[in-house]
Amino acid sequence: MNRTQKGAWFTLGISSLLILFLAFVLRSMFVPGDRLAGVGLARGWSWLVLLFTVVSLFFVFRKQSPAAPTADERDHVIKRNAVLASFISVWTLLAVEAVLSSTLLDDRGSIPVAAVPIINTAILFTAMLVYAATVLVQYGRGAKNEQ
Amino acid sequence: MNRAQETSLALMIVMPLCALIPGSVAVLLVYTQGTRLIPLFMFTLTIVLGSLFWLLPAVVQKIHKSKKVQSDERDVLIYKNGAVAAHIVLWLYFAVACLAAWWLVGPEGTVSVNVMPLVLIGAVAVFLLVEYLAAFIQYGRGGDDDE
Repeated sequence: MNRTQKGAWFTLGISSLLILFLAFVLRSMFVPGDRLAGVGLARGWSWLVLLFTVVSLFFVFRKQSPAAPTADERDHVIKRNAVLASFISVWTLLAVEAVLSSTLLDDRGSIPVAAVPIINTAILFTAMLVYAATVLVQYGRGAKNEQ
Repeated sequence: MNRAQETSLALMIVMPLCALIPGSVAVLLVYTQGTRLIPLFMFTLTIVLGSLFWLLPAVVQKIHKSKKVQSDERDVLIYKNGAVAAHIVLWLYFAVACLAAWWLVGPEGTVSVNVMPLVLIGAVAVFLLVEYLAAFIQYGRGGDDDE
């Protein structure tokens, strides 16, 4: 497994954890009386994210062999395609966000202003998730072709 | 100013207007007349064309691979770089939009769901503006090669 793949696994893990965390925070905003109840769990979840980051960064930056190149031409193409996929996913998610909020809350509805940055951050993390998944899928395809 | 720069400059003015006018009219129609097919179609078309138009040179190049050259490798690279720059500015725009909403209505305030599609339309306009501004600057860096 090269550094790009390890980085993709790291991104996949961290973005999944952060999406779950944001989903929890967002849910607590809409459930009455839940805002304070969730603080302990949110703190625990933050420690989990921090632990995952520290441990996985060690594995990402640890070189298996000093002679192994950090990234080759194929890695660059794979990364470029993944960036493209994440950009497309950003726009799709933003459009879904706009349409879904109008559909769920009716034309005259309103949403708490504090929820807006959380939704947008969740979209950013989902784009990260798409990036990592696209990288891993492309490496998976490459491995199949080599066999 | 070379021809490519002139085209970028024209697109920099025309494209954001092409996104802002039909997009805002569509949101206004939904707000006044309720959710109907035509305004929804206008909105979707604006978002899809505005946000994914930067893919067009690469797609055209792929389709016409063996035929006449529509846009060369440099054009595709310039538009891709422009798209990357525009996506970076897009996140800054959303961060500013979230902060502005927070500042205007306060942390306990709410925003209408109709604001969400309008923010998205604004995002498309900003995205197109930055994309073609980046293309304009990059074509300028190449000197008078195209003349």
